[in-house]
Amino acid sequence: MPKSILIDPKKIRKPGVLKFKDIQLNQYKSDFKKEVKKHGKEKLKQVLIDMLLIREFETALNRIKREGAYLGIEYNHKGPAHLSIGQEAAAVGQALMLDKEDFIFGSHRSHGEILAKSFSAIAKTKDDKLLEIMKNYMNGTVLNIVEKSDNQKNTKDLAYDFIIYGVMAEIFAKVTGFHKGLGGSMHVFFAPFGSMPNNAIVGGSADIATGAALYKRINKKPGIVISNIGDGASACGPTWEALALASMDQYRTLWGEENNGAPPIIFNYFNNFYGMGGQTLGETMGFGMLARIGAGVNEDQLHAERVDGYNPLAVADAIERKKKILEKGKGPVLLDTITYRYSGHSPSDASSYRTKEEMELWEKNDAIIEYSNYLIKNKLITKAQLEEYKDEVQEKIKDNFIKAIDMDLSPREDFNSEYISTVMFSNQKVEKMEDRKPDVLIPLKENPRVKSLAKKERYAFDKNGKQFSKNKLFVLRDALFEALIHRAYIDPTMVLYGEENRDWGGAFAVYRGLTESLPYHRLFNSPIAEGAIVGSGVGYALSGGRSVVELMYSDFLGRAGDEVFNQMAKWQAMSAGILKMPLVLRISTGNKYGAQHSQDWSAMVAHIPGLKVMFPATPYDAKGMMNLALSMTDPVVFFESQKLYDVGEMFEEDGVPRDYYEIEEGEPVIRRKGKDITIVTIGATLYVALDAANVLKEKYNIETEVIDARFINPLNYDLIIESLKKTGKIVLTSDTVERGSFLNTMAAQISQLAFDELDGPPVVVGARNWITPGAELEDMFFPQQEWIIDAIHERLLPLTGHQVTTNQTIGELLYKNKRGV
Amino acid sequence: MATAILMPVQGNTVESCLLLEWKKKKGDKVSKGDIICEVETDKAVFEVEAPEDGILLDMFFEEGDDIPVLTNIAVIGNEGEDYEDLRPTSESASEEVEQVEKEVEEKKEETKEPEIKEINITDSSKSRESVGVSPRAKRLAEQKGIDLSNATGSGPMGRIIERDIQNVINSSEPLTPAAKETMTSGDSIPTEGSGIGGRITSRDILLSSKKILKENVIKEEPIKGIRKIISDRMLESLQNSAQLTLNSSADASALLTLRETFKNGTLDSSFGKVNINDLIMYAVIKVLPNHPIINSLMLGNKIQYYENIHLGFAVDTPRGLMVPTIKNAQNYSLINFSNELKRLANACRENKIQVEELSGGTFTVTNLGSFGIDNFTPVINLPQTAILGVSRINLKPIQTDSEIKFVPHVGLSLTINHQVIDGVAGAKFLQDLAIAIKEINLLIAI
Repeated sequence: MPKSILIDPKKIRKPGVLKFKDIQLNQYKSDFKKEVKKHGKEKLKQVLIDMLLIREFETALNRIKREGAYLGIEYNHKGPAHLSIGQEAAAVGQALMLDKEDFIFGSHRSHGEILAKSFSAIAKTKDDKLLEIMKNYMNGTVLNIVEKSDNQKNTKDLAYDFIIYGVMAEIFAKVTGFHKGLGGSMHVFFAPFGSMPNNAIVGGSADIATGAALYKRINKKPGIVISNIGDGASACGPTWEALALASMDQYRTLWGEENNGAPPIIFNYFNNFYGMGGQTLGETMGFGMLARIGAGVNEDQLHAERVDGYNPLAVADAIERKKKILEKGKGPVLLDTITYRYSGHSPSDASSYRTKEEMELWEKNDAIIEYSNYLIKNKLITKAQLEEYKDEVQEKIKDNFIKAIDMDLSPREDFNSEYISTVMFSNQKVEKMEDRKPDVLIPLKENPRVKSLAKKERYAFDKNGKQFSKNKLFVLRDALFEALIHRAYIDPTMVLYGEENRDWGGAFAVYRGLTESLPYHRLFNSPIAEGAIVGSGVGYALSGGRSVVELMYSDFLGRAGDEVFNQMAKWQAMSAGILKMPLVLRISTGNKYGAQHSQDWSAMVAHIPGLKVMFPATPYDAKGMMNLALSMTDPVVFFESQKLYDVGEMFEEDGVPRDYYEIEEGEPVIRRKGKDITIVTIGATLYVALDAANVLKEKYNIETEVIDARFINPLNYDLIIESLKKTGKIVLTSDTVERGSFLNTMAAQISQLAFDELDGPPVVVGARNWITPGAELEDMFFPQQEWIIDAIHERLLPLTGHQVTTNQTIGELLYKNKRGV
Repeated sequence: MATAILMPVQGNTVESCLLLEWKKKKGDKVSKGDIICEVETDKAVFEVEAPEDGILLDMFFEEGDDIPVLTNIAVIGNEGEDYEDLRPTSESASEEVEQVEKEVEEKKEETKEPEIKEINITDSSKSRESVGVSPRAKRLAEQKGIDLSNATGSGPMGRIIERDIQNVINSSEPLTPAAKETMTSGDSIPTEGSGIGGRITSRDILLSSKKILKENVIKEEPIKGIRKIISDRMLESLQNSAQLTLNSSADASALLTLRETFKNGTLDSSFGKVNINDLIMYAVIKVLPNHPIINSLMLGNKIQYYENIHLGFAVDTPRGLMVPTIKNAQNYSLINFSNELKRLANACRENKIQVEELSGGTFTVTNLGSFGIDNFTPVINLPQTAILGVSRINLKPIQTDSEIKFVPHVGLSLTINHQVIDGVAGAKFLQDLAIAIKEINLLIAI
């Protein structure tokens, strides 16, 4: 909502015609002389060799999957193999014009792209640099193995072996693979050569690649980014969201000249006409030509065109032209690179959805045969040379295959190994992701909100114990702001974006004041595209920047499900720690807005391995925990209850410190001391529990210990168990619906950890297993103090003279479960 | 087809039998009627026969196993025959116990003697069902040596929680310094002290100590077989009924005279074997029909009244106490009754008693008179509701109009289950019985 751009009814309402430009299809014309001039003879030969290598690599996998042996060497590969036999020209042609700094992100069918991109990078990298990269990668583990053969002609040849072996060992889940076997066939990549994560979720790379392009754009890094996805991914919501995010007008209209326009990204669809078994041409999609998609996205029609992916030089030509467009900031670009796979979707695919004739037609047009003939016709190579190449290629693949399957040379991680535990999180503290001056608009102390907060009361009560008025208080949203702006002035890579983040200041005014300090490229409004918001945050973080993205309501988590559950959570471990994920995902949990705006879905993210989950309930914790989250290299889902944005600090008598501090990770805190019963809370129910504790003391002389868990994962149970040892009784409460709530996980853990301390079962008081009703009816849905007291009375400690007002009995619990409500 | 050998049902209340000894080996050729094994119930040893000719293909249990009735214990058939479907599963074994119980219940219904009436006992005394003890309370109780049965559950649904144990600790009497010194780990504190003001003394600790002073033990033997059954039955009886013993005596002058007459054989020499005990039991038979509540069983929350009298009587045997039953005792003439008593007693002593002769009693008489006992408190044979103990004959001073005469009296002790029989009802029975004994001549003449 920039005020600088006027929406003028006069213009908007004017009649007229919207015209589209022509979209070019397969316009490349071969010209051998020109091609030799551009690429050089050796390069043209190398294109053929690289294609042959990929073909042989995939053939080896195909043989062992289908026949259990390759060249008579038996091997049983348990994992997947989504092969790209037939698509080699597209991969090699694309890589030909890319540099090491250019990133490609791929799909489940990306072995060829990884190899091609790496081969291309090897050709363009000096030998000493190559050796340095190989020596540094996993402390030289892979290099040590491939060096043993001693049959490489030179360093570049050695680097070829390094790549072929590293990818193959990774596919076979070997500890010597590029990610120690934790990524596997569909996730292997090699970042030093610009081959970035390949994604097993269809279309998964589109928004991640957009994030990487944003990283390059915002931090002025060299190179472009290509999202290589299939035509099957052209329907996926997040790929459309990525197109929207990458083509926002604001890059040109608001970000300023010095920032080079749009993020440099090519959305390349390797269009092999099938999404698994569904035919995108004529069956499952309606575009006819995939390139048509570009026409609807922006005025440039995404510079879309169809490229003949069966001619490597046609693809190289397209990439070269499009790269220039991106470098001018005029992206993004869409390419419809047509190709065809002979192998099925996977070895289990019997190709029942296509005819033999069709497959034979394509095999007759096989890119490798065509390109070989082209080189032979133009006397660059002879037939005999071609056969020599084929023999050499087979020897190379065979040699690396033997090494990769050798259990002594290439062992697997031991089954008892806890290695994966060590890479689930990077657990590093990084002051700034890059050492340079952050782009800011004004000095921190001149920020209007910083100035206004200086006058606020940082402890909620005056000397007489009377609470200050809300307007005078430093509240939870201010605490978050302080932590965020602190880090924004230290880490130049830190960006914040999401819906209504700029100008409006975020729907709950946490960012109010940031607009004055941060330029557009560090704080901006995104399209309403939750998948791409989180997905691009993932791409930004794994590229090396710190991103803070926001889902306005927890309820919108479903819209970003894959990005949170499969991408944000998984990449650190799937890369065996090669990637870091300094990403903070802020999510507010709502109320008052009914069933689709009032849910607390912390249990869902708690369920997903690989995420750190925090939920502060006081200003002191909000600042200290946000500081902590912004200092780490791990993905953090940071929950904020809308009920609490305007609470002052009621516990730390010295108030919320003005200086920087962090809360110790995973440590709950006692907010009221007691000896008779323990109540553990997550989120806003802290205050409900304190009210209940007051009643328990006044009416029943029961002294309640109230503990705010603050953290969901990781979580240290020590303090809770210590309290339980004292009291023997424990109630857990939060605003999450009871069924599947993280409280039930806690209750189960507590029962295990301290069974003998229990004087009754851990009692969970959650929200009802209902939709959230309207604001006026909410008290029937969210836990109330009466629920807590009645639950104590019915399940833990009958209270003398207590009259229940709600039904918290075991019988009711059973009945509710039986009815599923 | 292979045939299973079943553990037979031995009497209505038998749920399982102990396998004493296999008489055949696996693979033996057996003929119908051959003894396969010996088993023991709570009342008798009996033999299990082969139901038909064949090879003993397999035995499913070992000697010493306690086997539910109607369980397949062995299988007979042709060599090489498959019999796996006859092998009892542990599940089916336990199901069978339930099944048997059910059948027993049903049988009881079917073969029920013509009843006078049946009334329901309203279960007002049913104690609140406790859901148990919290782990924390249990641990505290262990640490402090508190007997959980002394704690009253105040938690949800009667659960014993920490505060309940704390209450017991607070209310229990303190230890004397010497007691504290005597305490070693593992000792529990007795709940009642014998010291001044209920203080727990070192002696109390020693007496309740789990440690047994081994050096004084001269012999140790396991409680098993009939001893084990008696042990369980007696404890069960006392734990599950409200027993009250009424003591009285009956003028035994006529009894002694009659016995003397019989012995002399003046009338009929066959009466010579009829002894005092026979006569008293005969009197019991004659009196019982007027006191139906005494001749009853308490089964769950029902009282079953019986018209017929199945009279049990205690017999001392080398293997322990046994109680054979004379069925339909009211149908016997005195001489036949006496003979049947002798036959059953001998059968017990010679271990030839049939299982059915050991069960089904509706009332029991036990006599310790010959051991010089003056009176005692017999223990009821559940589900019977009363038992009569007969003691020795003593001279009792009786004041008549002019003088004090010493009249021989036989001691009578009636234990009743107060759940079912009130004191007055029991006293009235005893009163009638005393008259019947006093007028024994008249009684046998009727």
